[in-house]
Amino acid sequence: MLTINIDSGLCRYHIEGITQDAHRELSLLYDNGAKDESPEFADYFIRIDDTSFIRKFLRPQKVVKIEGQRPFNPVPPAKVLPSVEWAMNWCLAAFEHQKLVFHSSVVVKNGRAFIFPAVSGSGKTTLATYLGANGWHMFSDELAIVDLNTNSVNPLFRPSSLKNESIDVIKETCSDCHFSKITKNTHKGDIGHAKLYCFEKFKSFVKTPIEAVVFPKFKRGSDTNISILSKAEGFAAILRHNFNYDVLGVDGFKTLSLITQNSRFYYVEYSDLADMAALLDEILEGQC
Amino acid sequence: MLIPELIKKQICLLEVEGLSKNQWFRLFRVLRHKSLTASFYTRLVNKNKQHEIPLELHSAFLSAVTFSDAQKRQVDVQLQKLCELFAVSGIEFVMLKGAAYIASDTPNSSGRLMSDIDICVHRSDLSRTEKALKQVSWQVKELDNHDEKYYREWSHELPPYYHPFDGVSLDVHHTLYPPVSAKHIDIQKLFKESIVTNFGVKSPSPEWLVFHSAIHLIANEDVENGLRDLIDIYLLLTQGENKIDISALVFLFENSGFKTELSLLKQLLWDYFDYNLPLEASGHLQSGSFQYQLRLWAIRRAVCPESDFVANTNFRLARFINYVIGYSQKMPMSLLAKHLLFKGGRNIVKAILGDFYFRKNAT
Repeated sequence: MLTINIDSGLCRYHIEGITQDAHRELSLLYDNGAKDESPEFADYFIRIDDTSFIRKFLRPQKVVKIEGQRPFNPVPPAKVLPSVEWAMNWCLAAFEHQKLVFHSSVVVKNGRAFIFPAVSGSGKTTLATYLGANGWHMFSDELAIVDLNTNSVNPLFRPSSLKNESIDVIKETCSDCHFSKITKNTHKGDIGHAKLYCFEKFKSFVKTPIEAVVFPKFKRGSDTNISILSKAEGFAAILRHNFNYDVLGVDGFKTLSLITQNSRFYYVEYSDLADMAALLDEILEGQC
Repeated sequence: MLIPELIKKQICLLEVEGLSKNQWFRLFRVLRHKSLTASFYTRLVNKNKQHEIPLELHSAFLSAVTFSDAQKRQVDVQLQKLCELFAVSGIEFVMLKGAAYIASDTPNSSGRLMSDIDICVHRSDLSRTEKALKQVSWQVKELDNHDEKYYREWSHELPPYYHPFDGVSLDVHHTLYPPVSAKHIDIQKLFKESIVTNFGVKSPSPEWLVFHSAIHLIANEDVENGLRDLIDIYLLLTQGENKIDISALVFLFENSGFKTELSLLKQLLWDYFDYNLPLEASGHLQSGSFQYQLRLWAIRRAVCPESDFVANTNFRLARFINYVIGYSQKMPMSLLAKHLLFKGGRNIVKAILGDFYFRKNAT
C-alpha cells in the first residue's frame, strides 16, 4: 500500500494506504501537485483501510477513513479512485467553515467567474469540463469555494469527475484532456476522471469575482432555453446548493448577499454543449 | 508513561510550547478525530496560548470554532422550542449533558460538540412526552427489534428521536442509569436541585452535572468520547463559577451506589490532569479490591483515545474488559448474557465479514 500527498491549491491532502492502481492514476491526474514524500504539514488526512482481516482475502473490501471517520460504504479495491476523490470533496464540505462552499462547478473567462450550482445529474461537471477545454478556465467541477465577505471564488486543482455517457461526450469533444481509467459500476455508475491542465498552468489561476450564476439543466434533445432570474429568485435558488451557510451565520449571509448583488442569475436548459458555450459567451458579453 | 504524552501533556495539560509542525500535525489529527478541536482552541485562548498554533492551522481551528458556535445557536433554538412545546403540555424537564452545559454556560461548554440533545422527564410523563414530540414532527429512529426492546424495557432512556426538518437528535431520559441495574438514582432530587437558566430551562446543579458525566464515563460500556467527558469533569470541578460542594458530590455518588466510580474518577483525574479531587475530608475511602483494580486497569486505558497518531493507544483488551464491566454494572447476569450473546454475535460477524456488514448497501 502506498502514500501520496496532493496539493489542490487551496489545501493539501495526505492519503495513505492506496492501491498501486489508484496511486498511478492520482500521480497522472495531479502531476506536479502530487508527491510521494510527505510535506511537514497537510490539511486533511485520508487513509484507505481493509474492513477486516478476512476481507483482505475473501471478497476484498476497502474503506475510506477521513480524519478517523468512515462516512462512505466500503468498495472493492478496484473502485478506490472515485472514493478518494469523493473523500477529498467531503473534507471541504465537512470541515471548511472559513469559506462559503457551494455544490457547483466554476469556470472563468477574461477574469470573470461563472458558477453553475446544481444537483448531481444536472450536467454541471460535463459543462464545466467542456468549457475548460474550449476557451474558459475550469476552476472546479464540483465545489465553488468563496472567500468570506467577498464574491471571489477560489481555483481548485482537481480533475473532473465524469459519469456514464458524459465520459464519452468529453472524450469526443476534448481530446487534449488526460483521462484516467474508467471505474465501472460504482454507486453513481461508471466514473472517469479528466485532467484539463498541468499543475504549472493551474498555478497561474487566481481568485476571481463571480459575475454570473447559471443554474444548468441538461435535458436530452432540448433546445437551449434561457430564463433570466431576479436577484431574489437567484438568492433563494443558490441557497439550496450551499453546504455551510447556516454554520457561517452572519458572515455566510453577508457573503451570499455580496454574490447576489454583484451577479446576474440565469436558469438554462440545454442539450448541445457548443450551443450552451455560445450562449455563455453572450452572457459574458452582456448580451442577455 | 501510562498516558501518552500527546494526550496528557498536550491535550489535557495544554503544554504546547515549542511543539514542532509535525507534532502539531499529529496533535491536530487526534483533536479533529475526537471532535475536540474547538474546545481545545477555546482552552488555549483561556490560557493565552493560542499564538503557539502554527499559521497553517489557524484556519482549521477557526473553522472548528465556527462550527461549534453554529451548534450552540442550534441548541439555543431547540431549547426554546422544547420549552414552548412542553409548557403547553405541562411537562417538566431538565436538560442533561452538552445541552445543559450550553444552557448553564459552564466553562466546558465553549467549543464543545455534541451529537444529540439530552433531556430528562419524569417517568410518569413519558407517554405524554412522546405524544407531544410526535405532534411537532419528531420521529423515533429506526432500530432493530433487539435495540428497540433494550430501550423500551431495560434502558434509562427512550429510543432516540430525530427531527427530519431541523436535523437534530433528541435523547429523552427518565433516569440517569438503567433501572434494571441494582443502583437507584433519586431523580426527584435531580429535579429539585436543578437550576433555572435561559428561557426558563432547568439544568442540573454543578454537582449533578459532574455526577452524571462521571457515571456516563465510568459506569458505561462506551468510552468513545471518554476523554471529552473527563475534560468536562475537570473543567466543571476547577473552573466553574459555582463552586462544587465536594461533600454534596460525595453524597450523590455514595447514596446512588456509585462509590467505586467516585474512586475511579479521582484516579482518572490524577492520571490525566495531575488533579487531586479532594475527597479525604468527606470521609470517602478509596477501594482496594481486586474488582476495583481490574476496573481501574481497564478504564484508565480505555479513556485514552485510540489514534493512528499516538503510539501505544491500542488498548483493545482494556476496552473490551471495560465494555463487559460497563454492561455488567447495568444489567442483571441473565440479561447481560442474553445481551452480550446478541452483541457478541454481531461483532464476530463484523470481524469476519467487515465492519460494514450490517450497513445497508455495503458491498
